[in-house]
Amino acid sequence: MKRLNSATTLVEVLVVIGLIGLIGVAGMRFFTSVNTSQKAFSQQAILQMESRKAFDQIIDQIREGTDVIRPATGETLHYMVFRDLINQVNMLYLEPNKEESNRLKQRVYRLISYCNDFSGLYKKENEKILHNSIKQVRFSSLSPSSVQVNATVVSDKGEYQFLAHVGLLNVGGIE
Amino acid sequence: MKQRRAMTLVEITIGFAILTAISAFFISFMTASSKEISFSADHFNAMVLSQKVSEDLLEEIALNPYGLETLGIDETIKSKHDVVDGSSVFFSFIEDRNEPWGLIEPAKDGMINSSMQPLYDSVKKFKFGVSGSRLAKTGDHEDRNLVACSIDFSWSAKTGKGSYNNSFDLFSPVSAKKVSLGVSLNEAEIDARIPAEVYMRPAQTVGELATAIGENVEAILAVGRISLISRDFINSQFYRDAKEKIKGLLAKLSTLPPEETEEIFETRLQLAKTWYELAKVCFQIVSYLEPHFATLQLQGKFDGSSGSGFNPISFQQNLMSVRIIYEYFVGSIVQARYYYYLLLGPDMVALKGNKAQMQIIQKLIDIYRVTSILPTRPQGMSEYRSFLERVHALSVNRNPFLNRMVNHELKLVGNRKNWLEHYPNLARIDDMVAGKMPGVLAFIKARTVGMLTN
Repeated sequence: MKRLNSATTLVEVLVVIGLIGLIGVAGMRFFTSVNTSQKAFSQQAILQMESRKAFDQIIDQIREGTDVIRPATGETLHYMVFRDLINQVNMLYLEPNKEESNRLKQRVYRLISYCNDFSGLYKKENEKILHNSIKQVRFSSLSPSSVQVNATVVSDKGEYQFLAHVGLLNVGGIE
Repeated sequence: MKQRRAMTLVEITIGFAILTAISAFFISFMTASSKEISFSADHFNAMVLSQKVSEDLLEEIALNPYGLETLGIDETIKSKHDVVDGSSVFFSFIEDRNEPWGLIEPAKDGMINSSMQPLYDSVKKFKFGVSGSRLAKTGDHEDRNLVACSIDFSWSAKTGKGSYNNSFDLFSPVSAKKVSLGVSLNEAEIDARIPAEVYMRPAQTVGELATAIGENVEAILAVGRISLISRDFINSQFYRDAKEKIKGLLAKLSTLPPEETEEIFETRLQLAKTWYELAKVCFQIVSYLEPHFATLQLQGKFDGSSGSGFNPISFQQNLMSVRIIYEYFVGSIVQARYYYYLLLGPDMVALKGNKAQMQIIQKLIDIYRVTSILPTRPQGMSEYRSFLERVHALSVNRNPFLNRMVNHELKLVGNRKNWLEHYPNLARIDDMVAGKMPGVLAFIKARTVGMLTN
């Protein structure tokens, strides 16, 4: 029997439109979520990278010291003062970072390392920014030759808090 | 003519299947990326935490060679501890967050608890264990001073189980130093002087002298070395300079006003160092001479008669010199202890800082150990215990490394034999001052009784 050539029925058209719509919505949602996830992943990766950078810089800076001046043993402070090999006094402290605070919509700080040379004057070149968006940092001393650092690094998509125990150079003292 | 028509259900289903396959590929890619990033974050956390544990171990060992034993660490990891909630001693002294300020209490503010965010959430799944074993378990081998350490972190990850290991060797000296306790001298040069300066026979060698006076070479060398070395030391520039230096420093100290804290610190430190150096050299001389006394005692010399060729008067004078040198050792070490102790005053610590304070405490522990084994200072051990109690009070909830070391030492000193076994260098000094020197001093006393009573 010869098959009749006929136009698609209304039902078929509706089914097809429905399926295309469904696939379209699902596809759009999927690609939106892929895009969002990718952004989140890359931001997490950046946060990790930033945290590693902050961690390494803080540790490198403290390892140049020979004597912890503040905090005293058993004390926890938001800043640290230590002496280095050539008897210069170094400080690690926070100062507000307004631009980053406005951008991140929360209060964040720059972590500054300042090396006080023998002139007794403030010199811009003696100041080093170790990190731009730190939420908090605490230095605890359990012995005169090491310090524990508890710092929270903030970026667009989250916070990372790390805990480090840093030993200072094993020189100096009474001998 | 080609007919236009809508897609069939089959075509749409195929299209849908292709889209699903592409989506599945993307989803698996995203899931893998997510796992990778999450694993990388965990791995970084484990690395940072492991670094903290290894720094803690370094600190522990620097103060106490038995630090690992004190922490209960041995060659196998028996159980793993959580990082959070004060489960492990390594994460129980994090910071001072609550009253009383200036003290870190492990059960309160010391631990990582849920108030410490986001750290708590990111590390609460971590468990870790530490193992450590000496490369040589017993004996006097250098490898006994090296401890192979391993820190193992594990955590449940999206990929199944994460792990991170950090292995390293720590230097933890517990074997005796391979050095002689006695002073290093040019014996050939001293021996060549013996016939002329001790026996008044400048033309003879020691061998000829032995034949001439009917004595054996060993006894002649013993008498000769005791005589010359004790005499040389009493007349030495070092001995005179040390006494003069101490006199000068004491005079200077008496004139310094209390506000001159820097000068007072330096003068006291110089006094402590000079007394310590004098004590050290006196001990080295006595240690060198002790075997020579053993020779004379073994051969029964001076028991009844003075021997055919010895000059008993000059020898008695030399024996008195040995006794003076020994008493200088005992007196100087106590004086050194006194002046080092004065450096721990609050004004001195405020001036020089906590690191200097810690170094002085470590120096004092060494000196107190020696003064506590001197038979001529029976109160030495109670003085040492009292010092340890004071250091304990200073360290509690401030310096857990020092605190554990002091607790360990207080336990050890309760059993003298066990204590000395832990410190072989101290055991060697003990063997000299408590084992051998009483016999030597009794020998000297018996032979110089005439000098002492006249």
